[in-house]
Amino acid sequence: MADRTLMSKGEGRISVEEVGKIYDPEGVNVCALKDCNMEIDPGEFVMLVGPSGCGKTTLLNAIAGFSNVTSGIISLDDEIIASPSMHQSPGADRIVVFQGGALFPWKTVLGNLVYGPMMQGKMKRDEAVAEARRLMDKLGLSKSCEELYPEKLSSGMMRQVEIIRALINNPKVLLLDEPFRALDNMTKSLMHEYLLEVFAITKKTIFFITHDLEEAVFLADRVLIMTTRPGTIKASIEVNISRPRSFKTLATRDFMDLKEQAEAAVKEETLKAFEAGERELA
Amino acid sequence: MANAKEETLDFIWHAPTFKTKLVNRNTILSAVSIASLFLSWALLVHFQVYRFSLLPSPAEVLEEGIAWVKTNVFWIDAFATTLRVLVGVLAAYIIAIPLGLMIGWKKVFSDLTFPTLEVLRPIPAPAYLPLAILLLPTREASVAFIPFIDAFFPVLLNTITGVKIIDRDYFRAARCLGSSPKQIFWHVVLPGALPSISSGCAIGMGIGWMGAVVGEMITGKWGLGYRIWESYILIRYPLIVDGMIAIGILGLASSVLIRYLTVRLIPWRRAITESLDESITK
Repeated sequence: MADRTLMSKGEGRISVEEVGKIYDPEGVNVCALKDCNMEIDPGEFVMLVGPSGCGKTTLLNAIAGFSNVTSGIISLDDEIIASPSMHQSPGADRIVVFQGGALFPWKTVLGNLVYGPMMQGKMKRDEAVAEARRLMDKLGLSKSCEELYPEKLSSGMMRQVEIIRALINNPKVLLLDEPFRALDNMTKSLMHEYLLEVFAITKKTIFFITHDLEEAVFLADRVLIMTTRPGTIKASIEVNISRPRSFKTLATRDFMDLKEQAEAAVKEETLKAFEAGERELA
Repeated sequence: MANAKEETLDFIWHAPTFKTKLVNRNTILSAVSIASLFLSWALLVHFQVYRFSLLPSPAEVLEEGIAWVKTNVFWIDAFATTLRVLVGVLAAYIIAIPLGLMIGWKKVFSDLTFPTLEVLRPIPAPAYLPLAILLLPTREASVAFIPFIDAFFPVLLNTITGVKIIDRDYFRAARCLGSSPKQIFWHVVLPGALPSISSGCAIGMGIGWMGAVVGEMITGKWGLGYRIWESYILIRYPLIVDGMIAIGILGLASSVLIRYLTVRLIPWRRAITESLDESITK
Protein backbone atom coordinates (compact mmCIF):
# COMPACT_ATOMS: atom_id res chain seq x y z
CA MET A 1 0.00 0.00 0.00
CA ALA A 2 2.66 2.48 0.99
CA ASP A 3 4.60 4.12 -1.81
CA ARG A 4 8.27 4.65 -1.16
CA THR A 5 8.68 7.61 -3.49
CA LEU A 6 5.72 9.36 -1.94
CA MET A 7 6.42 8.45 1.67
CA SER A 8 7.87 11.05 3.90
CA LYS A 9 11.21 10.06 5.40
CA GLY A 10 10.63 10.94 9.01
CA GLU A 11 10.48 14.60 8.06
CA GLY A 12 7.89 17.21 8.76
CA ARG A 13 8.09 18.14 12.41
CA ILE A 14 6.39 21.46 13.04
CA SER A 15 7.23 23.33 16.24
CA VAL A 16 5.35 26.44 17.22
CA GLU A 17 6.93 28.11 20.23
CA GLU A 18 5.42 31.05 22.11
CA VAL A 19 4.03 32.45 18.90
CA GLY A 20 2.13 35.72 18.97
CA LYS A 21 0.61 37.75 16.18
CA ILE A 22 -0.67 41.29 16.50
CA TYR A 23 -2.33 42.80 13.47
CA ASP A 24 -1.63 46.43 12.69
CA PRO A 25 0.76 47.19 15.61
CA GLU A 26 0.27 50.99 15.33
CA GLY A 27 -3.47 50.98 14.87
CA VAL A 28 -6.24 48.90 16.35
CA ASN A 29 -3.91 46.31 17.83
CA VAL A 30 -5.86 43.15 17.25
CA CYS A 31 -4.11 40.34 19.03
CA ALA A 32 -4.84 37.23 16.96
CA LEU A 33 -2.41 34.79 18.57
CA LYS A 34 -0.78 34.86 21.99
CA ASP A 35 1.73 32.46 23.55
CA CYS A 36 0.72 29.78 21.14
CA ASN A 37 2.59 26.48 21.54
CA MET A 38 2.19 23.40 19.42
CA GLU A 39 4.32 20.45 18.38
CA ILE A 40 3.41 18.19 15.48
CA ASP A 41 5.39 15.00 14.98
CA PRO A 42 6.55 13.78 11.58
CA GLY A 43 3.78 11.83 9.92
CA GLU A 44 1.16 12.98 12.40
CA PHE A 45 -2.33 14.08 11.33
CA VAL A 46 -3.31 17.03 13.49
CA MET A 47 -6.59 18.90 13.32
CA LEU A 48 -7.00 22.35 14.79
CA VAL A 49 -10.51 23.44 15.77
CA GLY A 50 -11.77 26.58 17.39
CA PRO A 51 -14.48 29.23 17.13
CA SER A 52 -14.65 31.63 14.19
CA GLY A 53 -12.06 34.36 14.28
CA CYS A 54 -9.91 32.61 16.88
CA GLY A 55 -6.73 32.80 14.82
CA LYS A 56 -6.61 29.33 13.26
CA THR A 57 -6.02 30.71 9.79
CA THR A 58 -3.52 33.22 11.16
CA LEU A 59 -1.48 30.33 12.54
CA LEU A 60 -1.74 28.37 9.30
CA ASN A 61 -0.72 31.43 7.27
CA ALA A 62 2.31 31.91 9.49
CA ILE A 63 3.36 28.27 9.01
CA ALA A 64 2.75 28.55 5.28
CA GLY A 65 4.86 31.72 5.10
CA PHE A 66 2.09 34.05 3.92
CA SER A 67 2.40 36.31 6.91
CA ASN A 68 4.91 36.76 9.67
CA VAL A 69 4.59 36.42 13.42
CA THR A 70 5.16 39.26 15.88
CA SER A 71 6.71 37.06 18.54
CA GLY A 72 7.94 33.50 18.97
CA ILE A 73 9.40 31.02 16.54
CA ILE A 74 7.99 28.47 14.13
CA SER A 75 10.29 25.77 12.82
CA LEU A 76 9.98 22.95 10.35
CA ASP A 77 12.31 20.09 11.28
CA ASP A 78 15.40 22.05 12.37
CA GLU A 79 14.87 25.06 10.15
CA ILE A 80 13.28 28.24 11.44
CA ILE A 81 10.53 29.27 9.04
CA ALA A 82 9.00 32.17 10.93
CA SER A 83 10.25 34.61 13.53
CA PRO A 84 9.72 38.35 14.05
CA SER A 85 13.14 39.17 12.62
CA MET A 86 12.89 37.25 9.36
CA HIS A 87 11.05 37.93 6.15
CA GLN A 88 8.43 35.25 5.60
CA SER A 89 8.43 33.22 2.44
CA PRO A 90 6.35 30.24 1.36
CA GLY A 91 8.06 27.14 0.08
CA ALA A 92 7.33 23.86 -1.65
CA ASP A 93 8.18 21.95 1.54
CA ARG A 94 4.83 23.02 3.04
CA ILE A 95 1.98 23.35 0.62
CA VAL A 96 -1.44 24.76 1.36
CA VAL A 97 -4.74 23.41 0.05
CA PHE A 98 -7.07 26.38 0.13
CA GLN A 99 -10.59 26.78 1.45
CA GLY A 100 -12.00 28.09 -1.82
CA GLY A 101 -9.77 25.94 -3.98
CA ALA A 102 -6.89 27.52 -5.85
CA LEU A 103 -6.39 25.40 -8.93
CA PHE A 104 -5.39 27.76 -11.72
CA PRO A 105 -8.53 28.03 -13.86
CA TRP A 106 -6.40 28.86 -16.90
CA LYS A 107 -4.44 25.61 -16.73
CA THR A 108 -5.74 22.13 -17.45
CA VAL A 109 -5.66 19.47 -14.73
CA LEU A 110 -2.35 18.23 -16.09
CA GLY A 111 -1.04 21.78 -16.40
CA ASN A 112 -1.86 22.36 -12.75
CA LEU A 113 -0.25 19.12 -11.63
CA VAL A 114 3.07 19.66 -13.41
CA TYR A 115 3.25 23.32 -12.39
CA GLY A 116 5.21 22.93 -9.13
CA PRO A 117 8.05 20.64 -10.24
CA MET A 118 8.48 22.58 -13.48
CA MET A 119 8.60 26.00 -11.84
CA GLN A 120 11.15 24.76 -9.32
CA GLY A 121 13.20 23.33 -12.17
CA LYS A 122 13.12 19.91 -10.52
CA MET A 123 11.70 18.12 -13.55
CA LYS A 124 11.46 18.60 -17.30
CA ARG A 125 7.97 18.66 -18.73
CA ASP A 126 8.02 14.99 -19.84
CA GLU A 127 9.21 13.82 -16.44
CA ALA A 128 6.65 15.96 -14.65
CA VAL A 129 3.86 14.65 -16.89
CA ALA A 130 4.93 11.06 -16.24
CA GLU A 131 5.07 11.71 -12.51
CA ALA A 132 1.66 13.43 -12.56
CA ARG A 133 0.13 10.45 -14.38
CA ARG A 134 1.71 8.03 -11.94
CA LEU A 135 0.26 9.94 -8.99
CA MET A 136 -3.15 10.24 -10.62
CA ASP A 137 -3.14 6.51 -11.06
CA LYS A 138 -1.89 5.84 -7.54
CA LEU A 139 -4.28 8.28 -5.90
CA GLY A 140 -7.40 7.37 -7.82
CA LEU A 141 -7.88 10.25 -10.25
CA SER A 142 -9.18 9.28 -13.66
CA LYS A 143 -6.81 10.01 -16.56
CA SER A 144 -9.74 11.15 -18.67
CA CYS A 145 -9.84 14.46 -16.83
CA GLU A 146 -6.24 15.49 -17.44
CA GLU A 147 -7.02 17.75 -20.40
CA LEU A 148 -10.02 19.37 -18.73
CA TYR A 149 -10.02 22.83 -17.23
CA PRO A 150 -10.87 22.91 -13.51
CA GLU A 151 -14.26 24.53 -14.14
CA LYS A 152 -15.40 21.33 -15.79
CA LEU A 153 -14.62 19.23 -12.71
CA SER A 154 -16.90 18.46 -9.80
CA SER A 155 -16.01 20.24 -6.58
CA GLY A 156 -14.75 16.98 -5.05
CA MET A 157 -12.50 16.29 -8.00
CA MET A 158 -11.12 19.81 -7.82
CA ARG A 159 -10.00 19.11 -4.25
CA GLN A 160 -8.48 15.79 -5.32
CA VAL A 161 -6.48 17.51 -8.05
CA GLU A 162 -5.37 20.19 -5.64
CA ILE A 163 -4.14 17.60 -3.14
CA ILE A 164 -2.20 15.78 -5.86
CA ARG A 165 -0.82 19.10 -7.12
CA ALA A 166 0.62 19.54 -3.63
CA LEU A 167 1.90 15.97 -3.25
CA ILE A 168 3.79 15.92 -6.54
CA ASN A 169 6.26 18.33 -4.93
CA ASN A 170 6.89 15.80 -2.18
CA PRO A 171 6.34 18.39 0.56
CA LYS A 172 7.25 17.70 4.16
CA VAL A 173 3.90 19.00 5.35
CA LEU A 174 0.43 19.45 3.95
CA LEU A 175 -1.48 22.44 5.29
CA LEU A 176 -5.22 22.26 4.78
CA ASP A 177 -7.30 25.36 5.41
CA GLU A 178 -10.87 24.08 5.71
CA PRO A 179 -10.60 22.56 2.24
CA PHE A 180 -13.97 20.81 2.33
CA ARG A 181 -16.02 23.62 3.83
CA ALA A 182 -17.90 24.47 0.66
CA LEU A 183 -18.69 20.88 -0.30
CA ASP A 184 -22.05 19.17 0.19
CA ASN A 185 -22.19 16.47 2.86
CA MET A 186 -21.99 13.49 0.53
CA THR A 187 -18.98 14.82 -1.34
CA LYS A 188 -17.44 15.86 1.93
CA SER A 189 -17.57 12.35 3.38
CA LEU A 190 -16.11 10.96 0.14
CA MET A 191 -13.28 13.44 0.45
CA HIS A 192 -12.70 12.43 4.07
CA GLU A 193 -12.18 8.82 3.09
CA TYR A 194 -10.04 9.96 0.19
CA LEU A 195 -7.82 12.03 2.44
CA LEU A 196 -7.45 9.11 4.88
CA GLU A 197 -6.30 6.98 1.99
CA VAL A 198 -3.81 9.61 0.86
CA PHE A 199 -2.55 9.82 4.42
CA ALA A 200 -2.16 6.04 4.62
CA ILE A 201 -0.17 6.00 1.38
CA THR A 202 2.05 9.01 1.97
CA LYS A 203 2.39 9.29 5.77
CA LYS A 204 2.85 13.02 5.35
CA THR A 205 2.48 15.35 8.28
CA ILE A 206 -0.93 16.94 7.90
CA PHE A 207 -2.06 20.10 9.63
CA PHE A 208 -5.74 20.67 8.99
CA ILE A 209 -7.95 23.44 10.35
CA THR A 210 -11.70 23.23 10.54
CA HIS A 211 -14.91 24.18 12.32
CA ASP A 212 -16.32 20.71 11.95
CA LEU A 213 -15.74 18.52 15.02
CA GLU A 214 -16.92 15.32 13.42
CA GLU A 215 -14.46 15.89 10.59
CA ALA A 216 -11.75 16.62 13.14
CA VAL A 217 -12.20 13.50 15.26
CA PHE A 218 -12.77 11.26 12.25
CA LEU A 219 -9.56 12.25 10.48
CA ALA A 220 -7.02 13.12 13.15
CA ASP A 221 -4.44 11.44 15.29
CA ARG A 222 -4.80 14.42 17.57
CA VAL A 223 -7.32 17.26 17.81
CA LEU A 224 -6.12 20.60 19.12
CA ILE A 225 -8.62 23.08 20.49
CA MET A 226 -7.88 26.77 20.13
CA THR A 227 -9.24 29.43 22.45
CA THR A 228 -11.09 32.47 21.22
CA ARG A 229 -8.97 35.53 20.43
CA PRO A 230 -6.16 35.91 21.33
CA GLY A 231 -5.77 32.37 20.11
CA THR A 232 -3.73 29.83 22.01
CA ILE A 233 -3.88 26.05 22.24
CA LYS A 234 -6.25 25.14 25.06
CA ALA A 235 -6.48 21.37 24.88
CA SER A 236 -5.10 18.42 22.97
CA ILE A 237 -7.26 15.34 22.49
CA GLU A 238 -5.61 12.10 21.43
CA VAL A 239 -7.77 10.16 19.02
CA ASN A 240 -6.96 6.54 19.77
CA ILE A 241 -9.14 5.05 17.10
CA SER A 242 -7.39 2.50 14.95
CA ARG A 243 -6.81 3.03 11.24
CA PRO A 244 -8.00 2.37 8.61
CA ARG A 245 -11.16 4.19 9.52
CA SER A 246 -14.35 4.23 7.52
CA PHE A 247 -17.78 5.81 7.81
CA LYS A 248 -18.63 2.97 10.21
CA THR A 249 -16.19 4.52 12.67
CA LEU A 250 -18.63 7.39 13.03
CA ALA A 251 -21.11 5.15 14.83
CA THR A 252 -18.71 3.71 17.42
CA ARG A 253 -18.82 4.51 21.12
CA ASP A 254 -15.18 5.69 21.16
CA PHE A 255 -15.81 8.13 18.35
CA MET A 256 -18.88 9.60 20.02
CA ASP A 257 -17.12 10.02 23.36
CA LEU A 258 -14.18 11.82 21.78
CA LYS A 259 -16.47 14.02 19.75
CA GLU A 260 -18.41 14.94 22.86
CA GLN A 261 -15.22 15.74 24.70
CA ALA A 262 -14.07 18.02 21.88
CA GLU A 263 -17.47 19.58 21.60
CA ALA A 264 -17.53 20.56 25.27
CA ALA A 265 -14.13 22.25 24.96
CA VAL A 266 -15.02 24.16 21.82
CA LYS A 267 -18.45 25.19 23.01
CA GLU A 268 -17.01 27.08 25.96
CA GLU A 269 -14.78 29.07 23.61
CA THR A 270 -17.52 29.62 21.09
CA LEU A 271 -19.71 31.12 23.79
CA LYS A 272 -16.94 33.50 24.80
CA ALA A 273 -16.43 34.47 21.18
CA PHE A 274 -20.16 34.92 20.71
CA GLU A 275 -20.39 37.26 23.69
CA ALA A 276 -17.37 39.23 22.54
CA GLY A 277 -18.90 39.52 19.06
CA GLU A 278 -15.80 38.25 17.32
CA ARG A 279 -15.56 38.24 13.57
CA GLU A 280 -13.30 36.27 11.31
CA LEU A 281 -9.93 37.81 10.61
CA ALA A 282 -8.21 37.51 7.28
CA MET B 1 -15.70 31.48 -3.81
CA ALA B 2 -13.98 30.75 -7.08
CA ASN B 3 -17.33 30.36 -8.77
CA ALA B 4 -18.72 33.65 -7.54
CA LYS B 5 -15.75 35.51 -8.92
CA GLU B 6 -16.05 33.83 -12.30
CA GLU B 7 -19.69 34.79 -12.54
CA THR B 8 -19.05 38.46 -11.94
CA LEU B 9 -16.53 38.35 -14.77
CA ASP B 10 -19.16 37.10 -17.14
CA PHE B 11 -20.95 40.42 -16.97
CA ILE B 12 -17.87 41.96 -18.53
CA TRP B 13 -17.08 39.13 -20.84
CA HIS B 14 -19.44 37.43 -23.24
CA ALA B 15 -17.46 35.26 -25.57
CA PRO B 16 -19.09 34.86 -28.97
CA THR B 17 -19.47 31.16 -29.64
CA PHE B 18 -20.06 31.27 -33.42
CA LYS B 19 -21.76 27.94 -33.10
CA THR B 20 -25.34 29.13 -32.94
CA LYS B 21 -27.60 28.76 -35.93
CA LEU B 22 -27.86 31.71 -38.30
CA VAL B 23 -31.62 32.05 -37.89
CA ASN B 24 -32.77 31.91 -34.31
CA ARG B 25 -34.68 34.06 -31.89
CA ASN B 26 -31.73 36.38 -31.29
CA THR B 27 -30.94 37.05 -34.91
CA ILE B 28 -34.60 37.72 -35.69
CA LEU B 29 -34.80 40.24 -32.87
CA SER B 30 -31.59 41.90 -34.06
CA ALA B 31 -33.03 42.20 -37.55
CA VAL B 32 -36.25 43.71 -36.18
CA SER B 33 -34.21 46.20 -34.15
CA ILE B 34 -32.21 47.41 -37.14
CA ALA B 35 -35.24 47.39 -39.47
CA SER B 36 -37.23 49.58 -37.08
CA LEU B 37 -34.42 52.15 -37.07
CA PHE B 38 -34.59 52.42 -40.87
CA LEU B 39 -38.38 52.41 -40.91
CA SER B 40 -38.75 55.24 -38.42
CA TRP B 41 -36.10 57.23 -40.29
CA ALA B 42 -37.99 56.71 -43.60
CA LEU B 43 -41.28 57.73 -42.01
CA LEU B 44 -39.84 60.84 -40.32
CA VAL B 45 -38.35 62.02 -43.64
CA HIS B 46 -41.40 61.08 -45.69
CA PHE B 47 -43.86 62.97 -43.51
CA GLN B 48 -41.37 65.81 -43.06
CA VAL B 49 -41.63 65.76 -39.29
CA TYR B 50 -39.89 68.80 -37.76
CA ARG B 51 -36.68 69.45 -39.77
CA PHE B 52 -36.37 65.92 -41.06
CA SER B 53 -37.35 67.37 -44.45
CA LEU B 54 -33.71 68.49 -44.78
CA LEU B 55 -32.40 64.94 -44.35
CA PRO B 56 -31.90 62.44 -47.15
CA SER B 57 -34.30 59.50 -47.29
CA PRO B 58 -33.11 55.88 -46.98
CA ALA B 59 -33.71 55.43 -50.73
CA GLU B 60 -31.43 58.35 -51.64
CA VAL B 61 -28.81 57.11 -49.20
CA LEU B 62 -28.94 53.64 -50.68
CA GLU B 63 -28.64 54.95 -54.23
CA GLU B 64 -25.73 57.25 -53.43
CA GLY B 65 -24.11 54.54 -51.31
CA ILE B 66 -24.10 52.01 -54.12
CA ALA B 67 -22.56 54.56 -56.46
CA TRP B 68 -19.94 55.45 -53.86
CA VAL B 69 -18.92 51.85 -53.19
CA LYS B 70 -18.32 51.42 -56.92
CA THR B 71 -15.73 54.20 -56.97
CA ASN B 72 -12.11 54.04 -55.87
CA VAL B 73 -12.79 56.92 -53.52
CA PHE B 74 -14.74 54.69 -51.15
CA TRP B 75 -12.05 52.05 -50.97
CA ILE B 76 -9.29 54.55 -50.41
CA ASP B 77 -11.35 56.26 -47.70
CA ALA B 78 -12.17 52.99 -45.96
CA PHE B 79 -8.59 51.79 -46.20
CA ALA B 80 -7.14 55.05 -44.90
CA THR B 81 -9.42 55.14 -41.87
CA THR B 82 -8.96 51.45 -41.08
CA LEU B 83 -5.22 51.80 -41.24
CA ARG B 84 -5.22 54.82 -38.91
CA VAL B 85 -7.45 53.00 -36.42
CA LEU B 86 -5.36 49.85 -36.51
CA VAL B 87 -2.05 51.63 -36.12
CA GLY B 88 -3.31 53.79 -33.26
CA VAL B 89 -5.19 51.04 -31.43
CA LEU B 90 -2.49 48.39 -31.80
CA ALA B 91 0.07 50.88 -30.47
CA ALA B 92 -2.28 51.45 -27.52
CA TYR B 93 -2.45 47.69 -26.88
CA ILE B 94 1.31 47.34 -27.02
CA ILE B 95 1.88 50.06 -24.45
CA ALA B 96 -1.23 49.84 -22.26
CA ILE B 97 -1.30 46.08 -21.65
CA PRO B 98 2.21 45.66 -20.19
CA LEU B 99 1.82 48.94 -18.30
CA GLY B 100 -1.54 47.87 -16.88
CA LEU B 101 -0.18 44.48 -15.83
CA MET B 102 2.66 46.13 -13.92
CA ILE B 103 0.39 48.76 -12.33
CA GLY B 104 -2.11 46.11 -11.26
CA TRP B 105 0.55 43.78 -9.94
CA LYS B 106 3.14 45.95 -8.21
CA LYS B 107 2.09 48.64 -5.78
CA VAL B 108 5.29 50.60 -6.29
CA PHE B 109 4.64 50.79 -10.00
CA SER B 110 1.08 51.84 -9.37
CA ASP B 111 2.09 54.63 -6.97
CA LEU B 112 4.72 55.78 -9.45
CA THR B 113 2.60 56.02 -12.58
CA PHE B 114 -1.05 56.08 -11.72
CA PRO B 115 -1.33 59.72 -10.50
CA THR B 116 0.18 60.98 -13.77
CA LEU B 117 -2.12 58.82 -15.82
CA GLU B 118 -5.14 60.00 -13.83
CA VAL B 119 -4.29 63.61 -14.67
CA LEU B 120 -3.94 62.81 -18.37
CA ARG B 121 -7.06 60.66 -18.55
CA PRO B 122 -9.79 63.36 -18.59
CA ILE B 123 -8.13 65.23 -21.47
CA PRO B 124 -10.15 64.42 -24.60
CA ALA B 125 -8.11 62.92 -27.41
CA PRO B 126 -8.74 65.71 -29.99
CA ALA B 127 -7.11 68.15 -27.57
CA TYR B 128 -3.85 66.32 -28.22
CA LEU B 129 -4.05 66.96 -31.95
CA PRO B 130 -2.12 70.27 -32.17
CA LEU B 131 0.69 68.84 -30.07
CA ALA B 132 0.61 65.63 -32.07
CA ILE B 133 1.00 67.59 -35.29
CA LEU B 134 3.97 69.49 -33.83
CA LEU B 135 5.54 66.35 -32.37
CA LEU B 136 5.01 63.68 -34.99
CA PRO B 137 6.76 63.64 -38.39
CA THR B 138 3.75 62.98 -40.61
CA ARG B 139 0.13 64.02 -40.71
CA GLU B 140 -0.89 60.36 -40.88
CA ALA B 141 0.86 59.73 -37.59
CA SER B 142 -0.88 62.64 -35.92
CA VAL B 143 -4.31 61.41 -37.03
CA ALA B 144 -3.47 57.90 -35.76
CA PHE B 145 -2.43 59.47 -32.47
CA ILE B 146 -6.08 60.21 -31.60
CA PRO B 147 -7.33 56.60 -31.73
CA PHE B 148 -4.18 55.74 -29.82
CA ILE B 149 -5.12 58.05 -26.95
CA ASP B 150 -8.77 57.02 -27.11
CA ALA B 151 -8.03 53.30 -26.94
CA PHE B 152 -5.20 53.64 -24.43
CA PHE B 153 -7.21 54.29 -21.26
CA PRO B 154 -9.96 51.67 -21.64
CA VAL B 155 -7.31 49.05 -22.38
CA LEU B 156 -5.15 50.23 -19.48
CA LEU B 157 -7.98 50.35 -16.95
CA ASN B 158 -9.37 46.97 -18.01
CA THR B 159 -5.92 45.44 -17.69
CA ILE B 160 -5.41 46.91 -14.22
CA THR B 161 -8.84 45.68 -13.10
CA GLY B 162 -8.09 42.31 -14.65
CA VAL B 163 -5.04 41.92 -12.44
CA LYS B 164 -6.71 43.30 -9.31
CA ILE B 165 -9.60 40.84 -9.41
CA ILE B 166 -7.29 37.80 -9.52
CA ASP B 167 -7.92 35.93 -6.29
CA ARG B 168 -5.14 36.33 -3.73
CA ASP B 169 -5.08 32.56 -3.23
CA TYR B 170 -3.78 32.01 -6.78
CA PHE B 171 -0.74 34.12 -5.94
CA ARG B 172 -0.32 32.26 -2.68
CA ALA B 173 -0.68 28.86 -4.33
CA ALA B 174 1.89 29.85 -6.97
CA ARG B 175 4.33 30.88 -4.25
CA CYS B 176 3.72 27.65 -2.31
CA LEU B 177 4.54 25.73 -5.46
CA GLY B 178 7.88 27.49 -5.67
CA SER B 179 7.34 30.15 -8.36
CA SER B 180 9.71 33.06 -8.82
CA PRO B 181 8.20 36.56 -9.34
CA LYS B 182 8.87 36.26 -13.06
CA GLN B 183 7.04 32.93 -13.18
CA ILE B 184 4.15 34.43 -11.23
CA PHE B 185 3.91 37.18 -13.85
CA TRP B 186 3.70 34.74 -16.76
CA HIS B 187 1.62 32.03 -15.09
CA VAL B 188 -0.71 34.00 -12.82
CA VAL B 189 -0.82 37.73 -13.57
CA LEU B 190 -1.04 37.52 -17.36
CA PRO B 191 -3.46 34.59 -17.78
CA GLY B 192 -5.55 35.79 -14.85
CA ALA B 193 -6.00 39.20 -16.45
CA LEU B 194 -6.55 37.97 -20.02
CA PRO B 195 -10.37 37.87 -19.97
CA SER B 196 -10.49 41.46 -18.82
CA ILE B 197 -7.73 42.50 -21.25
CA SER B 198 -9.72 40.95 -24.04
CA SER B 199 -12.78 43.04 -23.14
CA GLY B 200 -10.60 46.12 -22.91
CA CYS B 201 -9.17 45.46 -26.37
CA ALA B 202 -12.63 45.16 -27.92
CA ILE B 203 -13.80 48.36 -26.21
CA GLY B 204 -10.60 50.15 -27.21
CA MET B 205 -11.08 49.13 -30.82
CA GLY B 206 -14.61 50.56 -30.87
CA ILE B 207 -13.53 53.86 -29.32
CA GLY B 208 -10.54 53.96 -31.67
CA TRP B 209 -12.93 54.35 -34.60
CA MET B 210 -14.54 57.39 -33.00
CA GLY B 211 -11.11 58.89 -32.47
CA ALA B 212 -9.95 58.34 -36.03
CA VAL B 213 -13.09 59.91 -37.48
CA VAL B 214 -12.74 63.00 -35.30
CA GLY B 215 -9.10 63.29 -36.31
CA GLU B 216 -9.96 63.07 -40.00
CA MET B 217 -12.60 65.75 -39.72
CA ILE B 218 -10.03 68.15 -38.33
CA THR B 219 -7.04 67.23 -40.40
CA GLY B 220 -6.95 64.88 -43.33
CA LYS B 221 -7.28 64.51 -47.04
CA TRP B 222 -8.79 61.05 -47.13
CA GLY B 223 -10.79 58.86 -44.84
CA LEU B 224 -14.40 58.30 -43.88
CA GLY B 225 -14.44 61.13 -41.35
CA TYR B 226 -13.02 63.55 -43.88
CA ARG B 227 -15.59 62.38 -46.48
CA ILE B 228 -18.49 63.01 -44.10
CA TRP B 229 -17.38 66.54 -43.39
CA GLU B 230 -16.65 67.25 -47.05
CA SER B 231 -20.09 65.95 -48.03
CA TYR B 232 -21.66 68.42 -45.62
CA ILE B 233 -19.72 71.32 -47.13
CA LEU B 234 -20.53 70.21 -50.68
CA ILE B 235 -24.20 69.60 -49.77
CA ARG B 236 -24.08 65.91 -50.74
CA TYR B 237 -26.17 64.95 -47.74
CA PRO B 238 -26.85 61.26 -48.58
CA LEU B 239 -23.12 60.61 -48.53
CA ILE B 240 -22.93 61.82 -44.91
CA VAL B 241 -25.21 58.99 -43.88
CA ASP B 242 -23.35 56.49 -46.09
CA GLY B 243 -20.13 57.48 -44.36
CA MET B 244 -21.76 56.98 -40.98
CA ILE B 245 -23.04 53.55 -41.95
CA ALA B 246 -19.63 52.54 -43.28
CA ILE B 247 -18.00 53.55 -39.97
CA GLY B 248 -20.63 51.67 -38.01
CA ILE B 249 -20.13 48.48 -39.96
CA LEU B 250 -16.33 48.62 -39.97
CA GLY B 251 -16.20 49.52 -36.28
CA LEU B 252 -18.48 46.65 -35.34
CA ALA B 253 -16.60 44.21 -37.56
CA SER B 254 -13.25 45.13 -36.03
CA SER B 255 -14.56 44.80 -32.45
CA VAL B 256 -16.05 41.39 -33.23
CA LEU B 257 -12.80 40.35 -34.89
CA ILE B 258 -10.80 41.33 -31.80
CA ARG B 259 -13.14 39.29 -29.59
CA TYR B 260 -12.97 36.38 -31.96
CA LEU B 261 -9.17 36.44 -31.92
CA THR B 262 -8.75 37.01 -28.19
CA VAL B 263 -11.24 34.32 -27.19
CA ARG B 264 -8.78 31.87 -28.72
CA LEU B 265 -6.25 32.92 -26.11
CA ILE B 266 -8.57 32.06 -23.24
CA PRO B 267 -9.87 28.56 -23.87
CA TRP B 268 -10.71 28.07 -20.19
CA ARG B 269 -13.17 30.95 -20.42
CA ARG B 270 -14.86 29.24 -23.33
CA ALA B 271 -15.29 26.19 -21.18
CA ILE B 272 -17.21 28.39 -18.77
CA THR B 273 -19.26 30.12 -21.46
CA GLU B 274 -20.21 26.81 -23.00
CA SER B 275 -21.32 25.35 -19.70
CA LEU B 276 -23.29 28.55 -19.09
CA ASP B 277 -24.93 28.19 -22.50
CA GLU B 278 -25.86 24.62 -21.66
CA SER B 279 -27.34 25.56 -18.32
CA ILE B 280 -29.44 28.28 -19.98
CA THR B 281 -30.75 26.17 -22.85
CA LYS B 282 -31.51 23.09 -20.76
